[in-house]
Amino acid sequence: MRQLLRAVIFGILGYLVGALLTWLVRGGSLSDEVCVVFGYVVGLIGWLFGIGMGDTWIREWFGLPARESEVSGWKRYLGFSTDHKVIGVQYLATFIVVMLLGGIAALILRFELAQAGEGILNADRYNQVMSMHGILMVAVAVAAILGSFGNYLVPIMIGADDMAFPRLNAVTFWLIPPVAIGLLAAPTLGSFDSGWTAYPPLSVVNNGGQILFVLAVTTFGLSSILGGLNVITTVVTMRAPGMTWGRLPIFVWAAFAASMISLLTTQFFAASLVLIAMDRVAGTVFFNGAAGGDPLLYQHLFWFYSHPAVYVMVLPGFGVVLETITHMSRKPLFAYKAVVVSLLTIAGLSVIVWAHHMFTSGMAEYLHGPFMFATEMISVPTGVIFLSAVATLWRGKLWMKTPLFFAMTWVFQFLMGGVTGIFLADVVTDVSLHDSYFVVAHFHYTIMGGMIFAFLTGIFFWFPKITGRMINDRLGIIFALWLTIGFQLTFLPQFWLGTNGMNRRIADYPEQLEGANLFSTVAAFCLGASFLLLVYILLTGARRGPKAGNNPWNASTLEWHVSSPPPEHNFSGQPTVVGHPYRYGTAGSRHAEFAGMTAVEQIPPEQTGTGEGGDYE
Amino acid sequence: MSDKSKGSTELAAVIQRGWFTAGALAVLTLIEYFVATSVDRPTLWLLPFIVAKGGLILEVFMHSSDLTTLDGGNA
Amino acid sequence: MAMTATPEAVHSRAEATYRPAANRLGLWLFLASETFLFSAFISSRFVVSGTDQPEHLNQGLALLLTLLLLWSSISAFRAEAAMAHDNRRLFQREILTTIVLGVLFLVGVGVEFNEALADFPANTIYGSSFFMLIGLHAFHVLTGILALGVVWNLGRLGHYGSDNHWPVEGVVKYWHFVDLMWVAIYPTLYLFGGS
Repeated sequence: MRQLLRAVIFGILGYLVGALLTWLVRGGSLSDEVCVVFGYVVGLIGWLFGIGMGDTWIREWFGLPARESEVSGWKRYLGFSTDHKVIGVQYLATFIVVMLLGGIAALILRFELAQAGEGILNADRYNQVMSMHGILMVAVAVAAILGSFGNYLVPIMIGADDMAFPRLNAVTFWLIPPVAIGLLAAPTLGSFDSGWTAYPPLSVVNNGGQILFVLAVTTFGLSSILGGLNVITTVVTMRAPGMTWGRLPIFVWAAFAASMISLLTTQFFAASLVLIAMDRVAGTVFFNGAAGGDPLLYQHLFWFYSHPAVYVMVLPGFGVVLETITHMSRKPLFAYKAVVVSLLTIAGLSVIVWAHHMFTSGMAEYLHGPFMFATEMISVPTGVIFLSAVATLWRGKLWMKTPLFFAMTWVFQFLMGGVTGIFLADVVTDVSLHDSYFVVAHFHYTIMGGMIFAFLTGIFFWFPKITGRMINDRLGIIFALWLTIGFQLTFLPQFWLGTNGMNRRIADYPEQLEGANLFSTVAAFCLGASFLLLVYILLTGARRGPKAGNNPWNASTLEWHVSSPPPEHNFSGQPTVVGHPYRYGTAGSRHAEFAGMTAVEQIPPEQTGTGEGGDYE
Repeated sequence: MSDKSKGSTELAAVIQRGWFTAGALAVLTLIEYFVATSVDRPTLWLLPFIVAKGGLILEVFMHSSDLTTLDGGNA
Repeated sequence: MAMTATPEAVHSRAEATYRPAANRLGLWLFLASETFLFSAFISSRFVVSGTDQPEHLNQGLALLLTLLLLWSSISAFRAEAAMAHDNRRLFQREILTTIVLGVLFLVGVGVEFNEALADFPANTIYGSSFFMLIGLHAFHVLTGILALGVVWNLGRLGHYGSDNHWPVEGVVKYWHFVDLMWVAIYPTLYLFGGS
């Protein structure tokens, strides 16, 4: 608590110092964007210093001994903790809150769209709310799984005691609150209305809120780069003895592949936003066509990150879902090696498909063919992963608990998202569907269906591990069904709306589209209400749920063989990995041995599936 | 004593390697400059210089060979 | 042995085996990521203005800056080698040389900026790329100088030895990386346009 208070004070003081100094040097007004930029940067440094980076890290740079924070219990979650499990929970809680905020913004939008004409929002206000919804949800999609489960589970799954750089890990998380504050403070400078994509020329000439968007999102990018760096280093250098690359749990592979993308390509997003800031603040002309610049440059730089970012969102989702499906259908993961190859292939291909977002932008014609081809190529490895999920379910002993319900609805929704994506990858159809609600429906199926549903799968699957308690399974299944049905009813009509001429990012529409819009709005409120049930389930589960024990799902991977929640440093002795993680149905198979710990309980034979489809060693 | 002198001859050898590299980089830079100012459209001619200079810096100054021993002793 | 090991003992034993590799890999990954940042700006320059370059470029100063940076590389290299062989005096001297050369480089950039503002201000398209790229690079030089200052001070206080000098290695590697980026930026801004 003390740390947090100090961080807030240092952050505010830093902002004032930065802004005032800039103002003294150059005059003008204190709310000029230059002052905001320098204020933000100094404020960010003050915030990090105050939250504990100063005590535990920066002091060492001056030859002083580091001071470790000594809080314990729940207070660790409000301070600079270097424990990867604490950081994972911090991410989880933060992004559930951000997700709910973004959801409220979405409901406001749907309320406006319930009827043609301008209702509660005028056209400007609509775009501002839409932009806020967009960037909040993109942030959730990028960091929710990788930040929470990536931090919490990757070290335990590979038999390590923490991430490779624990202090860096804490910094990575504590960069997030300034992002949220920056974005939510944007209305004080007139908000931003250029969507989460922030295309120039609009984003160079609009209200001052855009500069806060640029600063906040660049900070967020820094956080994802450092997080990715940490995950990769951890996986490469800290695997337990015997944990060969061929024995890594699939979630670790997925987090690894996604981290590669976010480590490298996020810099392009940062670059594109820095150029926007320069054009706004320093008078450069990168995106000013009249002075020889090129607005399309932004789109190329931006999508060079932001298309791969889609895979930063869904690859960890694939990992979570495949992990859940294999454990809960008691079968080996189908075609493990092919899935690993597919994950890495997707990571590789993701950087050569970006211009499919730009088919109607007026870019050079000769780029259309190659980018269409590359985009359609990427559906091959994605299809392999999809097939692996389905084939693992096939003839499994399905254990129909909440996590498996969510994983199975994921399979359906990702299929919808994938199939409708083909129309957008094809130049001929994309030219007429671009910028329509068809696109909106498509990416909600892929990102919400592919990522948020995987996030929920993960929450329900690892909830017993993280809290030590079980949730009410009946309520969980009701929530799964409610959410899934609400989701279909909200977004299916939007495909129809898109093909019938409804544009994206617009507050008003022709009256003949009113029926389907109203239907979608009502369904969206039904969908939104289901999240209240989620909050109820999680809170009551965490407080009053029955004790889970170490391994409620009888699963094989390492995190299930430590207590729930795991102790500090995870393992009391060094685990040694002796076999593949997913050998359900093979008698006597074992994943790991633990020195100094109770032996791994063998999986009861009546709970194992057929053992078909393994593809190991 | 002998240990120390052995250490310092080793150090001298390492530093000599650094000087050779720096000399090579300086010569390459000067040739690069000369090529750029005397050829009409020099872009393609300059790429080999960038690759060569970058390679030297990565190999000698940045010890890029550490990348081969990063697996934390785990196969 | 492991039966009686406390978690802390296991923790510190594991730490010793992976720490050097983790540090190196982490830095290499960071540098790889930074390479993407630089390449974004370098490719922007070609997208907006091809290889065009203005008449008035201070080629002499640019060549001098390049050689300054090269000289600072060899002094940084010597500093690292000196610490690896426990030669502290040479280490202190060479780190200080590197810092001085870095500061001289920044002064040169300042002079260059001043001239450039008159010839091709930031509101021309070449000027935009020029100030962006040189500015980004100069920012990295500045952070490099600060980091060198930190290891200089800690070296003076006796924090490092031949088997314990990762921060020195890391900072020097970063310094060379900044030089490496200059290898690409220098021809991008000064040479590709030809005579």
